[in-house]
Amino acid sequence: MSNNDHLLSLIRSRCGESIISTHSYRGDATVVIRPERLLATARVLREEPGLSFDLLLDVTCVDYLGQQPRFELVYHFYSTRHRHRLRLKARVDERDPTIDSLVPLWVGANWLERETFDMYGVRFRGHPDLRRIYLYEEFEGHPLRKDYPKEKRQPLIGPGSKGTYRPRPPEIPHASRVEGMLGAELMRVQLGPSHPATHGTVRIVLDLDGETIVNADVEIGYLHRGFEKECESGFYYQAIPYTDRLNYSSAILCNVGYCLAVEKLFGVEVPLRGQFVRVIGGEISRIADHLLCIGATALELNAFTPFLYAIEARELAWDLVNALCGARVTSNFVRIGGVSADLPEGFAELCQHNFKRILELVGDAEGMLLENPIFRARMEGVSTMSADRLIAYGVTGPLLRAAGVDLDLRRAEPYLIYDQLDFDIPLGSRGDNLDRFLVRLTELRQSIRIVEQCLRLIPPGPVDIDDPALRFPPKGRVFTQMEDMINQFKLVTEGPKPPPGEVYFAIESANGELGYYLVSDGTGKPYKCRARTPSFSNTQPLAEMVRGRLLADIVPTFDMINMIGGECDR
Amino acid sequence: MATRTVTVQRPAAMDAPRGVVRSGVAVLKGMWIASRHFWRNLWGFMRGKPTVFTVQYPEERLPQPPAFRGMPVLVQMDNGKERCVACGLCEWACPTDCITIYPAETADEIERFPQVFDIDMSRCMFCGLCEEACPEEAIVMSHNVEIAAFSRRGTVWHKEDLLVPVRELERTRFRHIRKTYERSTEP
Amino acid sequence: MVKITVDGREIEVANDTMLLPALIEAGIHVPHYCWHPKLSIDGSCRMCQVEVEGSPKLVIACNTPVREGMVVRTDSPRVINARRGVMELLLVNHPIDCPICDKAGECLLQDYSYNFGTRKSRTDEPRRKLEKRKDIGPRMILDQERCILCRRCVRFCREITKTNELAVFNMGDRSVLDVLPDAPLANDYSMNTADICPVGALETKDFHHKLRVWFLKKTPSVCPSCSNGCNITIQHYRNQIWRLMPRRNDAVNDTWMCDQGRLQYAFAHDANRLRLPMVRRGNTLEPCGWDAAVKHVSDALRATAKKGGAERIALLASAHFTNEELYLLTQLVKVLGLRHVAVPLVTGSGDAFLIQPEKAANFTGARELGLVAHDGGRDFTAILELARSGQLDALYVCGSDMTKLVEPTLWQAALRAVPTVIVQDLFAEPLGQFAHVLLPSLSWAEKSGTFTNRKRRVQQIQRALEPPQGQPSDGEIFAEILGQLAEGHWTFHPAEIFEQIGKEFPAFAGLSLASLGLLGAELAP
Repeated sequence: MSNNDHLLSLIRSRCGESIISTHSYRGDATVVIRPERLLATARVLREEPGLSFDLLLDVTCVDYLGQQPRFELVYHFYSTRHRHRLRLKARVDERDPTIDSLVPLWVGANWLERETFDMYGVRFRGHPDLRRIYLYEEFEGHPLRKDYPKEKRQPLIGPGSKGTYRPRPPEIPHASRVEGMLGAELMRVQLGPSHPATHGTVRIVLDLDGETIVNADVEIGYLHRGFEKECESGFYYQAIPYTDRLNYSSAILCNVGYCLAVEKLFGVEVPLRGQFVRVIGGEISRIADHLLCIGATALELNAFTPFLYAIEARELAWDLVNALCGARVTSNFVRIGGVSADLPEGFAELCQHNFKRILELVGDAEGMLLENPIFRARMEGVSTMSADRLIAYGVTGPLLRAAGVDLDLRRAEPYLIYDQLDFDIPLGSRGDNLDRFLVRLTELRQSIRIVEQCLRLIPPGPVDIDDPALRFPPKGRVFTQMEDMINQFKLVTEGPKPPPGEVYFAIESANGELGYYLVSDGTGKPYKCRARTPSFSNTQPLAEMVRGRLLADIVPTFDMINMIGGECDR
Repeated sequence: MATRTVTVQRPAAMDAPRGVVRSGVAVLKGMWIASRHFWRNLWGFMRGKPTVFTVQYPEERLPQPPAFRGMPVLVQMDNGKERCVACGLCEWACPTDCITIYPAETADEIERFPQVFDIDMSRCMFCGLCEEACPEEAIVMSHNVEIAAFSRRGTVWHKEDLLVPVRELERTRFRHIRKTYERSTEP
Repeated sequence: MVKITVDGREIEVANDTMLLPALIEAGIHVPHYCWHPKLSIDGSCRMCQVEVEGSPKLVIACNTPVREGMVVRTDSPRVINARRGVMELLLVNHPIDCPICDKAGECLLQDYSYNFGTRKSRTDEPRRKLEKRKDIGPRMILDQERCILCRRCVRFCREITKTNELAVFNMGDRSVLDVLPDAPLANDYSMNTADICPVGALETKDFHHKLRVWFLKKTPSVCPSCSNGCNITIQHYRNQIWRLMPRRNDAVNDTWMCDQGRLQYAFAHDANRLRLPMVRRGNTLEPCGWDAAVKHVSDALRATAKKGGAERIALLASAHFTNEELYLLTQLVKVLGLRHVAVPLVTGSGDAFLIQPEKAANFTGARELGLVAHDGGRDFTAILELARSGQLDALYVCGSDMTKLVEPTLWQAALRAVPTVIVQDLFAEPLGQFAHVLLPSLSWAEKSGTFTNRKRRVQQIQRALEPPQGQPSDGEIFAEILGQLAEGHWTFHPAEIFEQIGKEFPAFAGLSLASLGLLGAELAP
């Protein structure tokens, strides 16, 4: 790509002494640098006007066991101004796996680096608070290292177990002590992990001065289940059901992102009809996700009736998903090289019928909420955060758009057939909770519009690539033809084998940029399968959003962040 | 590009005194919406055509679409035997390793059969990859999801429990999978 | 050496070879069915066709001698097309048997169809019907439909075993592989035909319908059943051995192994294996902890040595132990000052090919380490005689195969006459009833170490099966006992002990486990 050549030559001219090599595989501009030059290079990337990489999307690591140096840190950047991407890589040695922290430049690097430390044991020099993030302190080893056996069991931590449980005082790191307004001591309150409003299971440790939040620490990891380790130990096709469990309220979108990433690794594209089917499935998922978010917000602000309407509407959306792929939540719909099934008979009519009712129900819920003084008081002007600050945190999706930033990957980097469709991208003006709510409401209606267009425009033809290197052959041929029987056997037992290389592919999921970073070593199993999930990055600014506000403001803010535990904790 | 950005319309601020009036109107409007739902549901109930969304499970059950994936079952042929030949593809394709097969030999025309075919339903996630991997149309997803058991051991289903007559499946699942697995690559 | 150009790359190959082995040697993969490195050239499969500059037609690489300046293409459109044609013809009549065929997963037909074939079929015609599941010998079955007539097995029986059981009958498209009615495939190496069969036509009865090959984990090892030391791969799953396969080592066994060695693995995962140490109380053996058992043994040895002197202790060690374990036994002999030590050797029949009469893997190792003074058997009977006549107070017996050497009444009477009998074995039978302390031993599949074969070649074995948690290996037991009886810190790490052996025994000098690699090395003369 000429764009990438231009970008890479610009970077080479600005920080040539830091660079070891550059390449652009499958259109991903990549720069490999000396580890000691990370901070300097990152500063140039951020501040050079021609580059202005303001969004640090992801920090992760790849463990090349047996190579020297062993650990490769991988950073993914995006520029909201120039709409270009960059992957930055630096290798650190096994004996001293340390590299500079990027927190001084991007506050959002905080959690990402904590995760990398937790999973790989790479240390970040200058990180303000390098603790484990998913696992408990007593956990031994770093599970995503290649020499950590997947089957290894560690004692569960808790009273009565044989583990080395130490009741841990819920310390808030670097809590700034302030003189309380009431002149009293601050009160330590634990919100969650099992609180009705912390759906998705999260613990928020709060220091309160009266009702005012002085400090907050968000503790995640309660739903951590080793998504990446699981994916790396199975074939490419076996990871698809696990992607369902990332964002369980919009599973098809997670499937779509994963399969598109694998297809990018192969360098193939599915037939047009398959792309339409993927968009239809994905957008119905997005509808379900937004409906849940809207309903839950209403419920937790004590408006039970709109919640029932929204849930009924979501149920109708899930009926569509069910008709499409046979399951409401765990869709497992998309396949590498296609989808598991074409649209069922009468699907367009079913959509028409359900959408009509969904719109009625959403209208009713909206009618009950938007003018309601209680709802307005708890949403309007609450937890406002500026666009720059959100970007510094790596926030994407409706949250960022509510602050007025035009960043929707369906428009910025149209994938599938989004460039053939006609839809609006809603933006907010103030960036408070009400804007976030309204953006989701509008997006939901736009998604319905997209599905209706797709159903109108969908061309006939196959939905799958007919290539036995990727997609199982049709069953009838398997039963009767030797070649296809062999193809079936080889594909099941060895998995699709993409050429060696690495790709990052991102889609606009319901909560923001959902990216997959895959490294292939040419075998049937991914060497590295990283999911850059929006919930993780979006949850990080929660503490800052609620600081100085009232305890009750956590609930709508948390709802609008729409943290999905499965996606955040992976 | 046919997409465009729009800025969402924020409702007018609720400042007093007009805000007070609008609040009152909003409350009345809320009551109107709720009671509309109530009357609609009552009317449906009286006519015997309920519009409520709730289903009185297990007395009432929703019809499931043909694509529905319940627990995997084994196809039982007319002679009472399983169609499965213990080729092991499903066991290998299963992401959660919930299938255990021990093959054995028989004197029948099809010389191989599973002497043990266990599925641990507490691990199974109904993903359907076993069905997709099967080269004999011998394991298929059913509509059954009622797999509760009183013990861990009870969640392991053996071959005898998993067999479903082929005639029954011909009417249900086979129609769906034959269509999807064929049509998927139609030119 | 001659220089040839392959796909634009210049390589140097030996000048008296055919093209195919030269290409394989250079790491260039050319698909082939009928060619086998240890068999004569047949040239029947036509799969290894390549394009040679100057030759109007494609040539088969297996039967084309290399010559200086040859220009070869293995990936030109013509070659690719020719392979597709061959694959298509092979598959036209192949039965759709993958689901019931044991070869699926390691089948060359599958591999080449997927990687070099058309991947799509153009025919719907019914497939040829031939005899299936034909019993052709005590250990082999034949499926004629699956056979692709590469004749590897025919050449094996003609050239390696020289028994000529298998042949291709009829002609043209009616050709079929078979045995003569009165000549079953029953030679001692018959199961090798299943290994070299590129498809699932020849299958061993032992592995028939047992397990899918892709589940198998593979651990390189050495066959323990005789002193030839054939290199093998232990193929295991669910902590159980499912089959042994020969591993190529041109210095020992080429690519073959005998049926007897291949079928002797079942004892390793037998459910009746001894797993807990036992100590005799009155008439019964009772399980006890490992520490207690080891203490019992060392106390008994120490007390006997103190009371009656080392004269009254005897050690009978198995020739199945690894060099490292035997080394620790030499240390035990040294510490206690033992004089009655024997490594009895069981002998049987042998042949001129692989099967050796010495039926133990490491008898040579025992001799190299000085545990065998003269000839193996004589010391053993002498020790039994000492025991029977009441001249022994303690007898440490490791392994029970030596009981086959003499009449049962003889060794039974001998064991009965000794006040303390320590037995270390895999099974409670046959020695358990005479034991006062019974220590479980590990099979060769469960431990790591080295064996020395009869040609003094040291070869590695590696742990394939996991013993139950907490069960020590034989070497660890010896180290524990030594720790109780002697000064110093005794541990058992095969690599360290092997290094130690190298320091003490000149024949082993300069060797390490890493330098042995997978193929082993010969001892210095």
